[in-house]
Amino acid sequence: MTRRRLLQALTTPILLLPAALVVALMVVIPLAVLVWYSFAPDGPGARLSLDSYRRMVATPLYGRLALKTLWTAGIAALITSAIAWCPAWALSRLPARARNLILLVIVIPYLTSYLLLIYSIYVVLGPGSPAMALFRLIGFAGPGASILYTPTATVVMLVYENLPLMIFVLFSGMQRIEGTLLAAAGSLGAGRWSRIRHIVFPMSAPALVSGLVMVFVPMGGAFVESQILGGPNGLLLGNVIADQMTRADDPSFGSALSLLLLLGTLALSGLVSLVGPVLEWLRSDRRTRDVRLA
Amino acid sequence: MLMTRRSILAAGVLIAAPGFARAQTRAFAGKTLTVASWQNYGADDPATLKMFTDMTGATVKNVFFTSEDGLLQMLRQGGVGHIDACLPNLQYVLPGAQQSLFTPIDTAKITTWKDLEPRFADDPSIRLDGKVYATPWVQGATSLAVNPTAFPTPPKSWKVLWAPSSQGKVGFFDDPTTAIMTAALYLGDDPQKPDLAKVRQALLDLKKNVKLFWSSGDDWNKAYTTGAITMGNLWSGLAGTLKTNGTAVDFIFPDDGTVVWGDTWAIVKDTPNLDLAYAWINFVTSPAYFVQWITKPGPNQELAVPVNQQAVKALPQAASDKLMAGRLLGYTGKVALQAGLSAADLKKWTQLWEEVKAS
Repeated sequence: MTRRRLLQALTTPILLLPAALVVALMVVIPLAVLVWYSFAPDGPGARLSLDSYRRMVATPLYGRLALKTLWTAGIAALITSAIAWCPAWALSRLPARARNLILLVIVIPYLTSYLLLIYSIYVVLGPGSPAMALFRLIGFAGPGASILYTPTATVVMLVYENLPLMIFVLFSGMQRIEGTLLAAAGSLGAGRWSRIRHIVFPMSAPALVSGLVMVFVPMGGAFVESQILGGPNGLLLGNVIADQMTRADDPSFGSALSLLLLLGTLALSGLVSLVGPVLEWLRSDRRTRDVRLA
Repeated sequence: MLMTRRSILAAGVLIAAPGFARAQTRAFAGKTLTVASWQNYGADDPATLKMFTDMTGATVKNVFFTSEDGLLQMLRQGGVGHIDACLPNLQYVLPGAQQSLFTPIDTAKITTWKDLEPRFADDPSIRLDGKVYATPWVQGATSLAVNPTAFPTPPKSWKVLWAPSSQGKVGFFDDPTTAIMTAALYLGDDPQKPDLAKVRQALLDLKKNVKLFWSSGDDWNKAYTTGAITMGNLWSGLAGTLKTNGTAVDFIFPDDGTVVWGDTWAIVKDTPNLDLAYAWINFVTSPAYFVQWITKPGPNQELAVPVNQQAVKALPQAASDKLMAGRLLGYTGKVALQAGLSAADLKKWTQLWEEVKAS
């Protein structure tokens, strides 16, 4: 092998090396430590056992909390995508200058400390806020009512925090849909709804799935939002993990719960990622059947 | 100007301080004392550090921890032999002593020991095998607070939080020890060894009335000032600050008892500066230190009530009132002291509290 070929063969591994090192240091090693701690209830270096997992399984509370956490994150992710879809589509059709300006405005909350965002939501959701006045007007709330200190406030906060990210991901996917394609469909008689249903939605579906996964993962691990805004019934698994790691001084049990949450999040993310390929397979299967029948 | 006995005593303390300083000056010149504490909590107050340097010639190097577990971890992972003195909460003195992280204290060398409140000085949680491992420093209460507009006649019992009429109006501190001890006081049980089954049921009943489990002063302030809550348990220092800033709040020591916490100074094992560490503890527990720290605190300093009774007497009345110091020291009712829990009990209490919150 010549030196040039050797260099060509090594180029890809060399380019991947920095990222691989970062992943090893920031993901693989901490994850390995987490797994190790979960099997070491008496501290690292002591005997290994399944005690933390036994405790987790023996107390139904933690399984219930894990489901509640995944449900909350799932609902928040779906609401985020529903709200983000229209603005993302509108942005993708705007001229570059106006689009960049609006994107800049959208990114501001994303660059703001999440604690500041949480405290700013007090003004929006407090008893005397315009939002609550609107709810009162349409009969959704009584006088003096507020959704602060309820699980709904946690969902609102998670949506608010992650909306810019979802808009960005959807926008980047929708930007690739050529206007000429829509014009061609129109010239063939497809109406507005038909073009959205048969062209825009299927072509932006991969971005939607990516966006759902990207916002669902941090939502599943959230705990500050539920601590401050969630009220007495807003506890999520993230709060219990934080408690175990700090004041209960039980990193082994905290690690076991973290792995439960991680597995739950991965499983749901995997399921969401499978939706696109399955739908595509079903469509292609139907097309094949139609061709055979013809 | 009207000179009260208290102001004369305060002036005397400040006048006496330079004399104390001259006596100690240069005794530890060139030495550096490393102290581990919370940030903005007395040990890093610039003016008092200058007083200490003027007195001893030594400089102070601050290292900060962000949780009590973090302090013990810091000592275990290389702090021993490098950190000289540290500031554990009363609940963490025994775990630290059991892990051989602290040096026994010779109380004869603590010049302020005789002035410390007996409730703290005699507490078993600073002792192990007959030896003392910490010097009590400051204290505070987590007691009943109500909005006087909602309660023109202040309630006298924790029962008010459990009353059906309090539904959705209670702010309760999100801390297992405080929660369980408060429930035990409400039940008339022993707060140190409560019947956990009864406590669990009492906390579940209480949860029906809770609007917010608060974990920072800011959480409480926002909920209280917007009217979302009208009662709950609250830190004495925060209640004093609210009152001073013009917010109407009644801070009550109920007839059924109150929860009290304490912070202490311990000397770290194998300190290379043992005598200097004693000089530091004598300084930070002295009336001169407290008068300076509490009356002219540096930016963002969190204040608390001295355990040294002479120091409380030396404080100007306004400063003392702001901290609720006189009321706390004068309280003769039942006290649930947040003292050392065993690791097993802490785990049990934390799990119980989590179950209550998650139910």
